Amino acid sequence: MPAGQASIALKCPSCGGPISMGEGDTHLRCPHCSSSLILMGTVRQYVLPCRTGTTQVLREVRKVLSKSGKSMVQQCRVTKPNLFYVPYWHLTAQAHGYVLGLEPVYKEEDVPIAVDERESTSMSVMGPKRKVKRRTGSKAVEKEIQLYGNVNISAANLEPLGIPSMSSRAQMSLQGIAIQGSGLPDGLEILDTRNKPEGVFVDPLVSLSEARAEAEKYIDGLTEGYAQGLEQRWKYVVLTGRRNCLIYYPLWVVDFYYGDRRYQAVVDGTSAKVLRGRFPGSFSEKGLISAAAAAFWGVGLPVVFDLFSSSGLDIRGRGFAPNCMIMSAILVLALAYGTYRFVKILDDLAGKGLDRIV
Amino acid sequence: MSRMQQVALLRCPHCTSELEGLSEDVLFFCTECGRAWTLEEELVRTPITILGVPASGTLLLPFWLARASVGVSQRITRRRSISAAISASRHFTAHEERGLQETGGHQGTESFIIPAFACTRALSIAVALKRNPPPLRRAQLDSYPPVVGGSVSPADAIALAHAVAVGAEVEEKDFLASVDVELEPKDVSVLAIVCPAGKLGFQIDDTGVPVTYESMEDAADILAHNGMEGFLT
Repeated sequence: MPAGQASIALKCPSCGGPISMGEGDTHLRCPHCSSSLILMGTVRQYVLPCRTGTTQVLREVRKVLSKSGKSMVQQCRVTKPNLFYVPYWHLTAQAHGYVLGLEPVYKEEDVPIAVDERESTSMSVMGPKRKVKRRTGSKAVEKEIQLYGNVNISAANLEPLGIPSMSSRAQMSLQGIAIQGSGLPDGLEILDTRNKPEGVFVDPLVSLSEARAEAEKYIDGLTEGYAQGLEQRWKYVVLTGRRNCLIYYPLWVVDFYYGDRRYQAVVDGTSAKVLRGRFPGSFSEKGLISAAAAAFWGVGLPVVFDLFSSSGLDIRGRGFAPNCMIMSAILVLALAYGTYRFVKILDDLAGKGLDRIV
Repeated sequence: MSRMQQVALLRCPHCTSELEGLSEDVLFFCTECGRAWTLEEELVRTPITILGVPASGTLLLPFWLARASVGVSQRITRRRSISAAISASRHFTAHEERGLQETGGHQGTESFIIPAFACTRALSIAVALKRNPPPLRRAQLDSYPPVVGGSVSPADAIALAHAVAVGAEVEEKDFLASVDVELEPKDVSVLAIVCPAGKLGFQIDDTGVPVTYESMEDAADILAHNGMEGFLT
């Protein structure tokens, strides 16, 4: 089987033996009883089996948590992971057509480089020459387009989980996930809707027609390469050999709590790799912020008291003058507001800024 | 949204003999009763004409014969070269280019012969066959040889026929700038054409149109199915 093609497992209706079909295959012979078989059905659905269990998923999440500190794992309360099968459309097509246009024609010429007359001791302005291309016209071009394209399109919105959607404009997903670009992951199996594996199957929100439109946009974009450099271009493209299938990809979603804050991580169901998640920041980082705040008050307060008691703010040279009281009050209010802002910043940093994002 | 997929035994709906084909075929030919079937929601009977009897070193390749009403209009041609040094716009705009001419269009019923096997050069082969079609002489056969490799659907054949109609205009001796082609399909049937096998590819009999193995996705499987693996070295 060519690289990049998935192998799908199913059973022979004649002898019950296991057989393997390539993605896109409609017909084959059973290797056990030699019966001629055909795959019927409108939309093919495949599932990538989940190869990880809850224990392994929890272990991986705790591994990431431990990077924030040894006691972080004990302090966090991790709930039971939930397995989701998220849908992707996989579409292929062949593009045939023509692109017509004008290709610019250039002529190379030797052009002397201008010399500054003030520096020259001679009356002549001739200097060294350099080659430049000068457009002289254009010629008519007719090119045939022949292109095979395949593309994966997200069939559900996974942005709330931090997983970017794949579309005609974005073909790269998260690093580590097996569906990337136009490739198919290995080990796909035909989805038996009567006997679905355990887990929540996310309904595709993107219809086949919408996915096809995205795929055609993408493949049409690929044909633009034939028209590169052409002007007055006219393009005609037809797509044939359209094949589509729905692939369900396993993802574990794990919720955990640190204090009263809720966090979430997404783990790949085939590799157990943590794909995306927000994890609490380390204690050492919070300690630094606290130390900085303490240092500020440790310096600021004595200065305020000193100014207040030494009449340093008295502009008339008399202590406890009304203007000194006003200035002191303003300073105290400013420090109080600063305290409030510091506490809020510290709280926010503890919630977001110090959190680690995978 | 989707129907349940199922695996079924592939048998001729007419005589119940086993049908043969390659793994991605949608066109199946019964070597017992000589009927052809296209896989859509179910197996649908498709008319087939076998042109010629395959001898040693030759086999039958499937093609779609699509008849359609074609209308060509707004056929604009340009000069071979233009001496203007000014850049033109990216997309075709008639008033921005000098020397454009609108030539006459035409309308009529035309036939298109489209490769039913997966081939990267399907469009250029079909355009060549449009220019030089094989004679449509039905062969008298005592038995039916296999016809495999038909993975192009009838809908795709119609789409390619439209592209061929455009291609026929591009292939004219002038330089085409743009054209408007409308195509309304009338019927689609299958042609099985004898193709001698050579070192580098097949040649479509009576036309001289070559089909290289390199351009065919299923060349090795088609040759193997016909017991001609030795041609692909």
